[in-house]
Amino acid sequence: MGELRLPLGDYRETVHLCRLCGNCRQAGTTYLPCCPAGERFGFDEYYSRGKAIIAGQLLKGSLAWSRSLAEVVYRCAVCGACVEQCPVSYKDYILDVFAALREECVERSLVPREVGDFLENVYKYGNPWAEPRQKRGLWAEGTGIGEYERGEDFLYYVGCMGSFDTRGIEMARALGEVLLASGLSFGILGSGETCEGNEVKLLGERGLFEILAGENIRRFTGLGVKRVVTLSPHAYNAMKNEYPAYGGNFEVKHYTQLLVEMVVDGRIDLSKGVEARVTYHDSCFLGRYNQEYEAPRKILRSIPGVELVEMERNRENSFCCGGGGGNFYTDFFGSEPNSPARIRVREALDTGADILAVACPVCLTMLDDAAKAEGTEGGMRVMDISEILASLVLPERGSS
Amino acid sequence: MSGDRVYDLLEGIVGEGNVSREPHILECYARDSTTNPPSQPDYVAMATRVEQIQELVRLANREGVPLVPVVGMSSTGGLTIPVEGGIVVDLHKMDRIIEINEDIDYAVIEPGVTIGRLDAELKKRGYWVSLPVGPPGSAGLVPGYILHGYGHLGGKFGINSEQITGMEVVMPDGELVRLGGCAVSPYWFHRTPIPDLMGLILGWQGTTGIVTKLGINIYPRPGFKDMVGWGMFTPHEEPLPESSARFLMKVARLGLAHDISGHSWGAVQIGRGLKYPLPPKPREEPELYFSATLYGFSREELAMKKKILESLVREGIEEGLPVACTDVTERVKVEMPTRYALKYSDHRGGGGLDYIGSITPIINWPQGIKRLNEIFDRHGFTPYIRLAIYRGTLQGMMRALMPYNRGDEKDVEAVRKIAREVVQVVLDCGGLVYKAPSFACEEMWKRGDPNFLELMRRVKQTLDPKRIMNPGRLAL
Repeated sequence: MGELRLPLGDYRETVHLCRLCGNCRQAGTTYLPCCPAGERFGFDEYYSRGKAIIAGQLLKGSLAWSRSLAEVVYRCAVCGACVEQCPVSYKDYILDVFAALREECVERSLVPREVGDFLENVYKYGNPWAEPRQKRGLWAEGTGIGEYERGEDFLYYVGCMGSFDTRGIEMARALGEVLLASGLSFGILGSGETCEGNEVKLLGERGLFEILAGENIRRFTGLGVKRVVTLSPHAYNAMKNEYPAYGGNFEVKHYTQLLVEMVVDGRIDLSKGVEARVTYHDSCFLGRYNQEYEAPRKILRSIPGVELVEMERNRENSFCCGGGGGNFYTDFFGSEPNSPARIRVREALDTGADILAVACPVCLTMLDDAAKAEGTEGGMRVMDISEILASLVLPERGSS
Repeated sequence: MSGDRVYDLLEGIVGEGNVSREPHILECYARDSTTNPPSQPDYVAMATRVEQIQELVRLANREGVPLVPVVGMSSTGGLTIPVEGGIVVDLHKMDRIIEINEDIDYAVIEPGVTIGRLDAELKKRGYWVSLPVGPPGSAGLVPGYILHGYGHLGGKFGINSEQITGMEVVMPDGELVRLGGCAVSPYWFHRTPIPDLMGLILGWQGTTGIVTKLGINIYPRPGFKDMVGWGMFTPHEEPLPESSARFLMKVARLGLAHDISGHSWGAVQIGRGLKYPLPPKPREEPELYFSATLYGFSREELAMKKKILESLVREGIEEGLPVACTDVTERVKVEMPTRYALKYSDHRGGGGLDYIGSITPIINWPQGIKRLNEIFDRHGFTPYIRLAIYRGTLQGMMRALMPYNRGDEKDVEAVRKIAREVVQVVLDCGGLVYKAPSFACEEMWKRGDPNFLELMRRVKQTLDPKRIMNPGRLAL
């Protein structure tokens, strides 16, 4: 047997930088809770402070690895809220320490069953639900969206949620149809698409991530792709920030970044407008990970009749829906009243909004389910920005 | 059933998922950023209701298991380290602001309400309170008040415990008691003229009860702010001559400022982000920086305060004091609550911050600061001294802070020694250590009136005969 790789060892000289101050518990300015795991489970270990202590004690050998510990390690959305709040130099290492803890769980075969299933399914099928690869492009049937052909301006990368999740599919279609209506030259990979691996890496399976990244990069390169527009901020994050290290050098945009340009230059006409009070929920992978706070808001503000109101926690202090880091699949936060998505929906309701707008298929599904659990039927609707635009741009969709 | 009777009983009280005995969870409640030795609890229980706390206390009595209350896990001083194990009662989920009374100007809060959260709520209504200066906004407000902490408005309103108006406490036998005016009146507005029994709780470091509600004064928030800064251009060996201390006393007597603070040169440099080791202090820079923070409800009021204070500084210069106006440093400009103070822990390589704080007469600061400088120098640490004058008095906070490398055992040992030496300096200056770690309490009691100590022991024995409340604190 080969020697066990110990990823935590890389942080032996840095994990003590955590000041143990507990500032990772609350969002600046409002001082409302910022950690989804902390809100759901409460013990100090769920916050970044606690994980720094755990990592330190594991490194010292005064604490032993266990399945119970691994459960805690994975009850985290890796949303980056703690990084935003950390006042000391430890902030530069927080996500790396989380990743190392998870990688070590993988190395030690301690991952929870749900995580193991996720990773195995992605490895075998290219998606976490073990759906056949051939079904991947079915969402586009009847839309007129074609497979990417060399020379087209954009590859529209849809990802697993957009390909297989019910609400994700609705969002993928809405965006695809808006892009078609705008006259953009683009195509999809259809059944040739596979998972981009963002959550795979966050779940600690670096090796599988590298396989996925390599596969995608080879495929994109082979097709001569120069520009990618992603449905999901998660894919955007992986392709923009991780893929270059593996030779993936193409321009990557999240769809809101593309749409905002098209709204500004008139390729998308929003003049139909809609009378609605709208609040926007920042996706962690668009916002905190990539500092894109304005594009979605600018689109919403461009719609005549929309009154954009902010939730108390917004932008870098936004509160995660709880779906990041694979939790949209593993569902470790559940649907209890103190699950992050339900807390977030109640915060949106407090604004008096008619629409809770998102720009991410994970947030869409998490918050839509939570809204149902909160009993908002007939009241506030959870809609992706692409869906709002589709209702304005596509005549057959009307203002539904 | 888990096979652990206490665990099962705890779960019966706080509910499934709210109690743990997992080593990796217990480990997180075993330590803070200070050099106080870590110690694991046996259980952690998260309480969300007062009745649960009462039940937990009764359980602890029956089983003879210690109880240690915690809130935001930001404590420094080792005050929440369960030195004798037992049950840590995590109160951070009890975070309701129960009342903000704008007719009588008080607020009633639960122990999990954080500094930042209360400030954010009061700000919306044009109010504020004196916010603990060192901790982050995520720290609980209640501990800083019941442990006689210092706030950012201490120059105007005194130490924070003076602003407590009422209290609800679960006593060590599980009984729920109200103290202060709220024991008689429907309002939580004042602690006297009835007998002030809050002395049974305040400053006892959780050894006589668990506070479940706290009433505090709130104050209208002035709209205008300005600052006046001055430096003491003195030699390192004689950082604050008596004449300069008397100048500070003059400033204090004016009663103009909401905060009068001083920082040693090194403290300011660390605040500016300079890394260890610091360069030698340039001759043209002061040994001590001072600042007065002024607020006013009108520009005229503020201008008048500033004019008076600046003229006092000018008088000092004319009298030959080593004083000169300086720019106010970034350190003191920050608005509260702030994360600024936490950055200090990065100075020597990270993570650790220990301190000994005291209330000491200003007239004794000269000998105190001189000796603190000597201690820091001897141990190869940057002198980091923080001063603040309390409302209408000639005494205030004299505090030594020790940012250190939590990953370096040599640093840890050095800071432990520094802390013990600082305690002696404080006591030699006639000062009193606040939020005192156990070893500091021991030193205070050695020099104290034996009858005072005996009375404390009798009070503790009467209230907590089974010795379940945060044992090991206060060195009784």
